Amino acid sequence: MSIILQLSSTQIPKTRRRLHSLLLYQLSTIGAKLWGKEIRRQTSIRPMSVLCLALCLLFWNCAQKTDQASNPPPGTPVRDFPDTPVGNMVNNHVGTLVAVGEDAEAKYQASLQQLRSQIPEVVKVIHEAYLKMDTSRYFRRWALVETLRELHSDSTLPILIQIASSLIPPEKWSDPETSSRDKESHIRVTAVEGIADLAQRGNRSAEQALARFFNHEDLSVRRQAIRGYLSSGQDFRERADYLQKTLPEKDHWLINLDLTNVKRVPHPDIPEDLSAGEAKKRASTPRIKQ
Amino acid sequence: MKSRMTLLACLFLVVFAAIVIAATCYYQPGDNNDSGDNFYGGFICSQAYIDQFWDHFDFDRGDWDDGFGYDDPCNVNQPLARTFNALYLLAYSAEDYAKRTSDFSGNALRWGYPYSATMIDELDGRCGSGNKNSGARATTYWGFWVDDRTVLQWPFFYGENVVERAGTIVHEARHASDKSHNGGSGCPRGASCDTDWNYHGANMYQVLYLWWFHVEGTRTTSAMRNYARLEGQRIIDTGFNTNPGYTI
Repeated sequence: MSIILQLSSTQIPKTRRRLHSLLLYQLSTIGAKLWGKEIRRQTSIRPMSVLCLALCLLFWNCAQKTDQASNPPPGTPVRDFPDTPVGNMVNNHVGTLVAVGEDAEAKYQASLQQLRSQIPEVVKVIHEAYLKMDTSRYFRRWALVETLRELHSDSTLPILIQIASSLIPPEKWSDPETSSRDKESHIRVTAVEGIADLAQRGNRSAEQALARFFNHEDLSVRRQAIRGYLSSGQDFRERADYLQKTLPEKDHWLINLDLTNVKRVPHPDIPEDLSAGEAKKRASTPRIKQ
Repeated sequence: MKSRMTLLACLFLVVFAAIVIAATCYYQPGDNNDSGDNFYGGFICSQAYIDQFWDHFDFDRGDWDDGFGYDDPCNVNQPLARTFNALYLLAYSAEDYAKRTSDFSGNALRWGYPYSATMIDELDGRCGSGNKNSGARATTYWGFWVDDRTVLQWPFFYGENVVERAGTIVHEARHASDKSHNGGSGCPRGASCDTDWNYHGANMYQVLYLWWFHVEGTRTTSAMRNYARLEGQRIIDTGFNTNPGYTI
């Protein structure tokens, strides 16, 4: 019992610890009675069952605490780009893309400007890196497509079409609340946004390419293609009429260029005061290594 | 004698079960630049922030030791620092971020942190599947007979970037306020569905946070705000039985 008590006191937090103190008290009482043969044979089944159940519950909770994490592989960035001036430029850029701080956006925009000064080489480096990249690196792949989109260059069109047209692979994850198909969708939606951007800049091939995605299996891709097409010219009404005739009726609600204003959507009524209290320094707070 | 034998057998079984259930998992940080952890890691490595997060989310040593980061809270290869990164983003992405956990004014970008700190009883770190590409990223437990807690697992630590992790925390915070999903498998993604926007469920809260991050997020890049838009739109398109019809 003392071993169990020691386990529980060090490894079971808060509410559970309180509940388990009570449980352990009950347990030790029953255990002592059993050990001392104070319980008659005919009545021993019930306390034994309770004891077993309680022990199972206790150890189940303790087992939850025994997870261990170890063997950190070095978290050093993987080298996706050649060790050339342009390769290094792209490598630095994907870093600025996720940066944080007051100057994060300014540095990101400056990096984009730098890339735009050497578009042919940059596009080549990004395309090669994308093709050889492990497909499970969803965010990096998206970051490369986002960079292509931001170049606003006609030379990116074939690559964007290729990426947007690629089939979305079957689901690989098992989390009900997020999926690998979501991440694959993000990549293709961004590619379609890039195509739409070129179409808005007058690239007729890009405008025609958008039509390929009007019936895409993925709603987010379809929506982006439709919006891109609608915004590619001044003749919105004609384009909308064309889409009304072309698209299945279930998708007619997508034929618009409206963006929803987040201020106008229903919001929850957040109570004014649900204070969790202000931060207090606790003895158990982890300390930074000196 | 029989009772003693039964007791011993029972003890053997439960100890054996405990050993079997115990999990060992291995860090999977991948590229910490990609996930944003290297950048946020520079900010959270401050004792004041660590004290704040530790207290507001009621972390416990027993849930974060044994390699989960308690002994090295600045190490972004380990789960604890990666969780702190998400909490930093959650707390400080609004221009006029909330300075008290009792301040619920403003939009979701602002109240996301106070709301989560208030609703989540405690944050625990676990292996889960031990694989960043499988299993649930986070699960919140609540109820009368349950120790209220939000358990973060491998796909959360290593399968999500910092922005996604912050959205996940807001999502779980909504569950922690006793709000389950109510849409069964009736939405396009087939699980964890809310019937509609007006249910005010976890999907709505997560979308609102991401949406406001897209619109007003500060100290970040327009690329990450675009990514938040994609994430939010995706949940709108797949997480509701009745699509609310919003376009971010």
